[in-house]
Amino acid sequence: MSAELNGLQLAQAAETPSGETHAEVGHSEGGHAEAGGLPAFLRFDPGVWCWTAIVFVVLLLILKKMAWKPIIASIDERDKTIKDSLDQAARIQEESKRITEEQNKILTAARHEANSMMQSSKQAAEELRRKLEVTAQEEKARIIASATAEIESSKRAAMAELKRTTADLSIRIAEKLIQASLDDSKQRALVDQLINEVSAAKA
Amino acid sequence: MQIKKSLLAPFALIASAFGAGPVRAEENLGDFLTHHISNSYEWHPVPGVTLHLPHWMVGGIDMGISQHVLMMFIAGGLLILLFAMGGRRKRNAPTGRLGHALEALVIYMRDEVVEPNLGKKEAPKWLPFFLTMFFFFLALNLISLIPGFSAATGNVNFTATMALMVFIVYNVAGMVHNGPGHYIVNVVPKGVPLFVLPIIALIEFMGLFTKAVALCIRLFANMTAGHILILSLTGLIIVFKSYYVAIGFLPMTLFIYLIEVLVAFLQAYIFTLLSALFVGMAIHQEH
Repeated sequence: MSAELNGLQLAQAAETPSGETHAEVGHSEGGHAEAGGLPAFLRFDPGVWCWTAIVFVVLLLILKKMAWKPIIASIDERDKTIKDSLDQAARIQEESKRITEEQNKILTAARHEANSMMQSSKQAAEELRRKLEVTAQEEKARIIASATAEIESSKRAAMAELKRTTADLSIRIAEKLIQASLDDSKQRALVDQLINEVSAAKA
Repeated sequence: MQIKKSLLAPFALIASAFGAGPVRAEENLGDFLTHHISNSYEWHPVPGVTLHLPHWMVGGIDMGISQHVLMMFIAGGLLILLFAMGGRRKRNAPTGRLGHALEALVIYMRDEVVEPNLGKKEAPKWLPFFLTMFFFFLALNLISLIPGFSAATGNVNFTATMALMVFIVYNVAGMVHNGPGHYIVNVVPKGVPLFVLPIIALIEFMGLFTKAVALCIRLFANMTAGHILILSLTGLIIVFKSYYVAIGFLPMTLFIYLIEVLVAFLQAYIFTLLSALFVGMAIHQEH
């Protein structure tokens, strides 16, 4: 029975484009088109317009004060902190890079200096050695020269002494000869004797 | 018969939670759909409970707290509660998961929606407006998916009001920013050949209005369509006069429901994005 009834009703519903024929069902005052032939959900409702505007504006004011301003301010603050930190990190990195470079430069310079110092001290040592050598050579030459000179002078002195002695001896021989000029044989023997004497003395 | 009924009780409960209620002989699908997507002065928060909402006549207008107005209150209250809970911050960072989730949405809206369209200079001034809009729509869309709740964003009066507000905002912003005369003149792009100028001018001036109308229709239609889809599948109970069909349609309903969760985010985002775009276009007319 009910199936028949429902079938009838469904057929009716299919024929009618909007809900007009179902006013008798009436389970809510909003569910049906009462004016203008529009379905209920398309009907103009100034109350909803007003409430929408009121609720939205009030919500905007409340949330602006309560949520948006503090949240946005805090996000901006955080972004700024992060940006500053990153900037600072970059700055520090650059600084450390610079310092490292400087250190390397200083180190290289120091090494260079040490090298050159070593070089120069080596050179100086070499110079000194050479100078000393030269000096020693000179000294040697000088000593040798002076020794030669001394020897020469000694020789000369000795020669002079010898000459003097020879002269003395000659004079003495002459004296003796003159004193002993008694006979020739005697003289000859005496001369021989004297010559021997002189030779012996000279030797 | 008794056994059959008790076996079907869970389906009946689920079906009624989606708004189906007990299957009544006199019910039909069209009626059922219209009832569930229309605003009314009754609210069924849970099956079997009916709250009668008050009418309130102010100057010839019914300023009563209808179901959709109630949804607005709930969504607004929910947002205030959420931001009160998730807004706590420590050393400029949210303290909890909720706070992080909300902040992610806020940052996304700022960086991807408001700033690209309005520019870094103008964006901070407009950010509260668009953030409120996005979160209000999102909250309304999402609570409308809770069984027993309804979609205020699927009410054409609601979307029309919001679109009107956006219309006023982009025109006023454009006039304040560029001067009223300049704004009106610049609506028509420069360098248009003289013989098409009247047509272009007409189209551009109509465009000022169609932009807002499109905003209104898009949100309303998307939300209503989604709910109609879910309700239609649920309504098969009425068409077939049997709870058994629920076994077949429940997976489908669930599928559409999940798509509706996506749509809830998407439509809130699109409305806000387009609003930001329109305001941006009105402010920076040279582009």
